[in-house]
Amino acid sequence: MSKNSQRNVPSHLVPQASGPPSAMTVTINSHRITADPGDTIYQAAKKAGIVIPSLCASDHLNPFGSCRLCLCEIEGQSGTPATCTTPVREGLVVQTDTKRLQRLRRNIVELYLSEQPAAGPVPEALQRLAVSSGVHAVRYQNPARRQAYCDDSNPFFVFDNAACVSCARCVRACDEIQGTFALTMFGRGFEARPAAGSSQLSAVSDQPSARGFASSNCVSCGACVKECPTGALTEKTVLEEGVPTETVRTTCAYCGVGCAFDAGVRDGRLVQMLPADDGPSNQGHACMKGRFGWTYNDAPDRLRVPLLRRGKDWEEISWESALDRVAQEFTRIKDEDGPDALATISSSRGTNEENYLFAKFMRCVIGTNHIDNCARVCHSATVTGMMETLGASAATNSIEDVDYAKLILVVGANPTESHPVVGARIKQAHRRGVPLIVIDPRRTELARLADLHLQLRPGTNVALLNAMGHVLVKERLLDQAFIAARAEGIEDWITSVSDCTPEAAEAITGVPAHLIAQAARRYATSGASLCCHGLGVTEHRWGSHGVIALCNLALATGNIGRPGTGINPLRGQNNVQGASDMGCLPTYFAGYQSLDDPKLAALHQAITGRPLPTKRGMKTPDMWDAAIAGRLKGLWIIGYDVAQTDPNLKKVHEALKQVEFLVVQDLFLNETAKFAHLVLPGASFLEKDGTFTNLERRIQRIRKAVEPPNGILPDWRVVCDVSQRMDYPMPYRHPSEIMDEIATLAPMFAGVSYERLDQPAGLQWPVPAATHEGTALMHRETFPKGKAHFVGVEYLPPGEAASRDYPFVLTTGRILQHYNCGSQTRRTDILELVDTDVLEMHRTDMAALRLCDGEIVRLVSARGQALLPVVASERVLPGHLFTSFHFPASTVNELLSSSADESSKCPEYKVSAVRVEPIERDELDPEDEAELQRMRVRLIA
Amino acid sequence: MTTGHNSTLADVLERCRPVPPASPNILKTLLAVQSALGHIPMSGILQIAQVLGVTDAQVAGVLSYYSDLRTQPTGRHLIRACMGESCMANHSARVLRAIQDYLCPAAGDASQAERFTVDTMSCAGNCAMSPTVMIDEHLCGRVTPSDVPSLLEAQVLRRKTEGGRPKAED
Repeated sequence: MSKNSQRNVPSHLVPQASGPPSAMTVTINSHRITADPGDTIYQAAKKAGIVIPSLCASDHLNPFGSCRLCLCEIEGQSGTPATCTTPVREGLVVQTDTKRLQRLRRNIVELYLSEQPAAGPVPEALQRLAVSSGVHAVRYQNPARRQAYCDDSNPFFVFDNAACVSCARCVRACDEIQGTFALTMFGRGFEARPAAGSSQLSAVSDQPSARGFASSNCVSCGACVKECPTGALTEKTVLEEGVPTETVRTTCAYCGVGCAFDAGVRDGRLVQMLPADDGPSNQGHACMKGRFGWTYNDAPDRLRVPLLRRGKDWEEISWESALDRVAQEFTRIKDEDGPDALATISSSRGTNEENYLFAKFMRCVIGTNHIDNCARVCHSATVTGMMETLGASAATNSIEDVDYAKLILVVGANPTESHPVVGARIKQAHRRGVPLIVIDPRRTELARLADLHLQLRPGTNVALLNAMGHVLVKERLLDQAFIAARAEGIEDWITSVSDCTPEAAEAITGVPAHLIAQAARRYATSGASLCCHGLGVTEHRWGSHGVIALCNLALATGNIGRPGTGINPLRGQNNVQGASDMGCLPTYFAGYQSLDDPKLAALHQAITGRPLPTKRGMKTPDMWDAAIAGRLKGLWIIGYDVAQTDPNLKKVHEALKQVEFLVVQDLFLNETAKFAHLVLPGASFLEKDGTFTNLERRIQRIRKAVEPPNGILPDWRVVCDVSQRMDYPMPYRHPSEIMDEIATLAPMFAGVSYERLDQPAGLQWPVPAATHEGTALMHRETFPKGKAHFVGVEYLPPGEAASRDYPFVLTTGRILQHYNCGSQTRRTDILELVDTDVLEMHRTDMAALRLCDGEIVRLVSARGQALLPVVASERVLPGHLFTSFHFPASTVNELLSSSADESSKCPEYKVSAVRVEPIERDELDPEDEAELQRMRVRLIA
Repeated sequence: MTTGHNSTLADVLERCRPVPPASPNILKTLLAVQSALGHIPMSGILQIAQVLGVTDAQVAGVLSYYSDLRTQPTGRHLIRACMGESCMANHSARVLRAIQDYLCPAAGDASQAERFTVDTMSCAGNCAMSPTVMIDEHLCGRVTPSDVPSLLEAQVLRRKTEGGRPKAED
């Protein structure tokens, strides 16, 4: 496909056999230029810096040829073809600016202008074209003018038909980039115009949700807005506040994809977030959250001053006294109860530098390894599982490998909602014909599209993956050469899968045996199978076993260490990879270095002047136990709302109440802050410098775009200032100096510096030297421990099963529109689209319980209960329920147990036994009643 | 929508359901629906999209592009005057007026609306015999305003006597 040829493919990813395609020489307007085969004349000219006028051509879209402005004359050929649809040929001689072409172009621009409504301004793009092509007036007396039609039903952008030229770039962006097909060209001839959904067919409705974009399946990714050449589609923030006057390149702070954005600023305020074309992981694409979900930054309830608890009230105090207070309390507890009475939970949302500093603070100032981050509750099982088998715990390949895979296996992940830019890329690959296999209890968007959907019962991943292994062994589909050269322990694995027949797995998983066998065969024989997995693998009682079972399959089939293959965990948060990389783990120092390594100890002492504590620290769940037992006295939690998002909330709340001194640092007064003794306001990612590490190990810069309100200190300054007060100065002037220190202490970051990170591509770790270009593909020649290890794992049932009292299995997860605890997305216009969590239930269960769409039900587990509106959903099987956890009012996490993965303590969010009870209207108090009135229930297609 | 109507739509759609690896054919499906129901009901768009595995926007795009596809019910006879360049030059507008005058003597006669729908079309491809009128599937060339009564009588009446359409009142 031509789209591939447009990308700069790194040399290691170019297939060996084909060799570099030969370039050809083309003459455009007497300039001899070199063009790549597969380029169109328009693309070749653009690369050579020759500008040809155009409205409908885009680097991101296939050639279309609708605007007719990019016409040319080709020597030896009659007619005036469009350069954007004409491929280059060797020796082509092209003219793009002859008298004849100028005349034709002038006529076309005149036709465009003639369509403009008589009143109102002409779009800037057309004005520029009119000037450059010399159109002074429109000769047509009675032209067909564009229909006056405006669609402002989307919360984030407006479509104004008057400014449109019907080039269909928006429609093509929706189809080709996002793959949502929410737009179409409606009508034909002079009346043709883009429209969302099908509401145009019927009479215009007054109900905003029943028309235009709001009535369609649009996911508000903003691709159409970005592609629009005339501003017919424009962001509402830009219409209200004006176009940006400067831009700052930064990295999105939502999920782990790490999309590069240009933050558009005007008069010191953010007015636009535009995805960057040279962003290595997003290539100009974005999702609703990153593109439009940033207005929380100016939310009226942002914390602006430190707050000290006075009984039930808060007292506003100065930064000086707040920092003094933290230092005093931490010093007091350390002196009275020892370093082990203090702990920190760092933020997977914060920068690498901040995470490193918090870890350093705990290790050097307090003298303990009691530090954890919220990777604990998502991918800690991946860390454990991949460490045991491959010896490194991060995605083995890069996002762009999706383009090189010959088969994509998605296990327990819903990328089109949780990692939408990667999801869109997988859909693009699938439309090119790459087979897709999805293993998921839910019929997600990718599952609907997939060639094979193995819809297993929640918690039975290991049984299914082992059965795939059984098929590989039985049908001799193992990559013997790879196994012999690169891995050990195959016997152990073969023994462990010998009894795991697909038939046995069918009984456990509910997936037909022939589908399991077919999936195994296709995974083994595609030539390059890429696996990505999500929290559907890890957040189980035996989550790390699930990860190990996946790694075993990749090793057995040689699907690792090559382009288009690998084991790729889709990390959930912008810097959850980095927070763990930086040593915010109770078990590892920065760069996953062992805490008892004597060489590291010496280096640590030399550089920091303090010894490295060797005793393993507490994991987050251990901290709750310690707090309840009275052993943990002081806790500092940064940018992590444990009181809403951790499982078994009653226990977490109990633990937080027991802590003597709880400091919470956040953008908002979140649920956890309500337990705090001291609350420190945080600076958002738009207000500070630093780096994030995305799910493909890519370290990327974030840059300060706007000033934090009220002189709020960035988190790294807070740590430095507290540390200073505790007699350990941290005299950093800029985060770059912190990164320099990380580079000296962790070999895998040795070559990382802010100077090198200034390039748009960032750096993918490991970067062992300043001359090393970074690692897009891991394990090419060897594994970190030399050889990889097969580890046989046995299927064990989840912590809880459906029973007579609790007949349903509940799974929790994310939806596209909101993000985790929702403290950011709930403070944006996304709330217009989704303003409540809902419970998804199969139609037959709804009928059996006599429930209707939108009815409020009570979910009851052995731990607690929650009220949620229920909707019929085709995405879950009978007996299975799904809900998100983005709204604190739902208290979904009260239902969950403390059951967690044995080795990593990753909680079992994906399996809880519950029952569903209808509620009587009179059980609701007036406040609930009012909330129900306001609630619009999202209905699932 | 009546139950009977709905089941017909469901039946038609069942026949059009794409069997992998075949891709869905929106146009063919819409033509099949129109041929079974006389028009494509607006209320059926989402159902059509769902069965085909496409979005409602994609269905709306095709549906709005072809003027032969109708979202409103028509009378039992569809009479269309061609308004292409050649027919226009040969006074098809006068022919259209003659048709309207002949068929609509009493405005607001509901039974007439059930029997006839008068419309225009862009080009029937019958330019050599302009102006053209299409009565249901029948192409009539060189039509003058004065031909209209006899033409309509002949087409509609003849088919009634032949029993071409099973509508007794025609």
